[in-house]
Amino acid sequence: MKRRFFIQSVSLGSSGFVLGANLPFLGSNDSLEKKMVFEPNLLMSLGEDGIVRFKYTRHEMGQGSFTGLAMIFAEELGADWNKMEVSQADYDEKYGNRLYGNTGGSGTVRRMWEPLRELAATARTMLISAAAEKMNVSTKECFADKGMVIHKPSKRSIPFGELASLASHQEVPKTITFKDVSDYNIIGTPKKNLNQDKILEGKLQYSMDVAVDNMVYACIVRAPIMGLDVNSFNADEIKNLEGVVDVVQVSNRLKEVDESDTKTSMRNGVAVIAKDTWTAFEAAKNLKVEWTDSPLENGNMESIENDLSMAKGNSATYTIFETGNVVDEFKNTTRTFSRTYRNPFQAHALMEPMCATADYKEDRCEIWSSTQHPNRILQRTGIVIDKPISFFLLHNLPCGGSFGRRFYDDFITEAVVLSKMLKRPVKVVWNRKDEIATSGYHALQEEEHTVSLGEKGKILAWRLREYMSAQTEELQWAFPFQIYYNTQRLQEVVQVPFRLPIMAWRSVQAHPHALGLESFVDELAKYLGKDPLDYRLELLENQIEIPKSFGEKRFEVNFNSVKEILVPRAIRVFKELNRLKNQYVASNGENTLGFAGHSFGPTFAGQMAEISLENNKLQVHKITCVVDCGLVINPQLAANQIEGSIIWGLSALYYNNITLKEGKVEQQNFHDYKVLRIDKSPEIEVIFLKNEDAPSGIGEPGVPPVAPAILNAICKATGKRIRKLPIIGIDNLELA
Amino acid sequence: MPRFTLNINDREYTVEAPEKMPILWALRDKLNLTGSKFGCGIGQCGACTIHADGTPIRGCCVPIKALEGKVLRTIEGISVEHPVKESWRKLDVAQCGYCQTGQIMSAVALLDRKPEPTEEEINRAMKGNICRCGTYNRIKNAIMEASKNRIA
Amino acid sequence: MRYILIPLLFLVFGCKENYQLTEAYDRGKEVYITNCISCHGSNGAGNLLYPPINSRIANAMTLERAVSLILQGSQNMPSVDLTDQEITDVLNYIQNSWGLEAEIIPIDSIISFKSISKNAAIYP
Repeated sequence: MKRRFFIQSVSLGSSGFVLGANLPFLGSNDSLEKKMVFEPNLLMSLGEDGIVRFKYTRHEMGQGSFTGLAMIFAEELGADWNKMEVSQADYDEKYGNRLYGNTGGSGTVRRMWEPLRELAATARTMLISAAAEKMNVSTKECFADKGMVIHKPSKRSIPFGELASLASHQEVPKTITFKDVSDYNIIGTPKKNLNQDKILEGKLQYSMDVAVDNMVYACIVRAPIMGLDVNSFNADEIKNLEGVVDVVQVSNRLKEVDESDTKTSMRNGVAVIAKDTWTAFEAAKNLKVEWTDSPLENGNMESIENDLSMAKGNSATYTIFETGNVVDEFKNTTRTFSRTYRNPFQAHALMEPMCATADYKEDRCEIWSSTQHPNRILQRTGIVIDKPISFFLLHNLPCGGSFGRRFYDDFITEAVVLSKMLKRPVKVVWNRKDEIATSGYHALQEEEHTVSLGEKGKILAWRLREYMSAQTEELQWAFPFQIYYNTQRLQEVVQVPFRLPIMAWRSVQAHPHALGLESFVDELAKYLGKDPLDYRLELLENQIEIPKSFGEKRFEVNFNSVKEILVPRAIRVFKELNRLKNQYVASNGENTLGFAGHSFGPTFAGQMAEISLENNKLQVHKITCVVDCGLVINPQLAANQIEGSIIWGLSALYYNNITLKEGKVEQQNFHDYKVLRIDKSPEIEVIFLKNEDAPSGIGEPGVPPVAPAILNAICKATGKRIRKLPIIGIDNLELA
Repeated sequence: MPRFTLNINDREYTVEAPEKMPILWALRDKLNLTGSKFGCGIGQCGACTIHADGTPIRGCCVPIKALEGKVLRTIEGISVEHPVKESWRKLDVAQCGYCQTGQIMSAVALLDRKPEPTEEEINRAMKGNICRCGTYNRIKNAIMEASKNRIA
Repeated sequence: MRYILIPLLFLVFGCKENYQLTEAYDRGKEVYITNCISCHGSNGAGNLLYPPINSRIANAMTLERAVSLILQGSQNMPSVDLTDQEITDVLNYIQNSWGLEAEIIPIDSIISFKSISKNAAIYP
């Protein structure tokens, strides 16, 4: 495999951030006390004790990059994995977007791959030059490995700790050379989740576990419909309850500042402040809030159905891209094949409900919470209280799952506003009902695929219309690549005015796209009398044209990477699935198979679902996932991510469905918003295709193929096609 | 406010709290034992699982008053060398880890009742513990592993 | 449909001797531990926040209602995600614990209750 991303030597002239570090490497007073004598960059310090202290500058949500980034850094540095000490960095603008940008889009390892290796290779070069000076040999004869610099000819070695002081006086190299992948001994090995021990002891500190002196607890009753405001509430009655400290109104002022952008801001509400969480929760149950009236368009599922069917006749709100002349082809077509697929609103239902503690003081506001996008949320929170980002000190703690939810600022803004108001530290705790019923959601969306067919089933044109709300479009940053460019194509969006706030959700837009595309291709194959896997490969191997850019330049997608990376990966994955299928058939497997594959970013994942349907009872026996994600940093944690993604996808397929009544979300907790439990967890096998390209992300790509693979299998078994999520009645499947 | 004496992890704690306050909140907000987690408040997710006289209970549903005189154990009271924790470590079960303390408490109690559980028995006992990261298969395997190691 | 339930609800004394289903009883106990014990207690007596389910009256009156409560929930009790077998097992356990004795309910009855409880009003 050609290694496209491995630049062997890098000039550091352009990467100013390296020099922006703690030069001239003499260490701060603080670090001198701890004998931290070598601090070549913002993320690393090395003491005489030989411990490499590495700062993690992203958000750990269970995806494992806390371990993964440290592995990349240790590998390139030549460190001893057992002498790495990894800690979470507080947010600070000094890191810049490159080192402390957002955590999302399965992009942490992908985006940190280059900067981390540059920083580590620079530090390694300096350690080597210190050792060469000490041994009085040439740097060219030395290399770093397992926390030592080794002189190859003499086999003499010096541990990093003994080089720390001398290294800090070395010149910063002008060019660096990256380690060759064949020399890797940390990357590619199954290192344990660095938080595992703390988790097992119950000692990993999440936002929920924060306690600071003089702190009070807040439970907020939020507007059941976004945009509603508080008219009145029974303040006196609640204030008299034992343990209640105060009852105050929380207002969304962000909306006044930026009318168009309410999706990340908090809802209006009333906060009950108490001496402990439970008292706040209980008092909030007795809170009676009168809300302002609100127009209720799209307030229930019937009106949403109505709007969707009305939208079918509408012309496109805008075109995403067009190649050739699809519109004309459809005017003259003699045979079309068209199907529509539906994804419902879905909540995150992350295990740890949102929580933030803030301590607002005159000169600084300290925050303890968990966020995927510190820069953005501090900016938003800052607008509300009229302060710059530098006013905040944010301790970004690991969280109990985020899946896109902690990209948004509402819960942190609430804590800051309340702390400012009450002049003491406030901990805002969301209960489960808040998290399910007054949040933002994975979008309800329809995907309508239509092809015009010519002789022998040749596709003459392919149109995809997407029905979605205007807010959903803002998530098109995660617009997944289409991979089938075997014909002229048109992709367009028709806006439907849903009111429910929309948020990023594990695999974002790739989820509805995969449901549509991978179900449609399967249906089309069946319609044309072809084997679904062969047909996919036929389409992939006969690409005519891959567009250079999107029509209206709304989205920045590098189509070159589709051609160069994605299509070859898709072909490799589908070929592997074909091999697995043949193997299964040869072993006389009795279950029905279904297949689907989809991209998320540059990663491509394909799945084979083995199902059976006896008396309409759906049983998913096994899901095998084939992944091409470039280099796998940690096979253990990467497999965990795919396994988890499949469970996530199954919850979405079986249960997840947020519905509205009079504008309000009807679901409240895990009894009416079900998620998968252990008894329905199928066997899962994960296969990583060997590939030494740069790592391309692993947290989300396992989700999108789950639903179409199983729906394709159900269709194969029964001849009936389900085109809407979630399916109804797992034990007694409702087949349309 | 009433005062209660509780036996938690072989230690006596005194806590002043309303008698209806669920033990979970006494542990978390009053005693700084935050290993037991809040997830749903209605006994549906199992993140708050602790033991009362060896039986797994959902801490969010049981008021402090009902637990006076009982021997309580939380995740902090399960030794780091316990076979369940060992197997959890070996299989690298946890992802975000938030539900895992509850999962472990359910698993420990299961193995105390049934040292060699079948897969079906594991499902039945662990069904009350939700994991949104989706670590179920590793949980199942870790319980089987711990079962083997306890017997051996 | 509703009327055939009544004979099943009579308490049958001495059925323990005929109770060949110790395995089913054990299964039911496991379901109880996982899903019920926190609120209703190890002796079925409930706790300060949740009601007892160990009295004969409650026991005799609640078979159909119990299925409805489990599947539909009520204002005070969330529905519980149990399979037909688990519902059968746990109700048999409850009906034969803490000094209570009752005829064993077969799974088919539970399935037939299900269709009733689906249409039944949600109990307070």
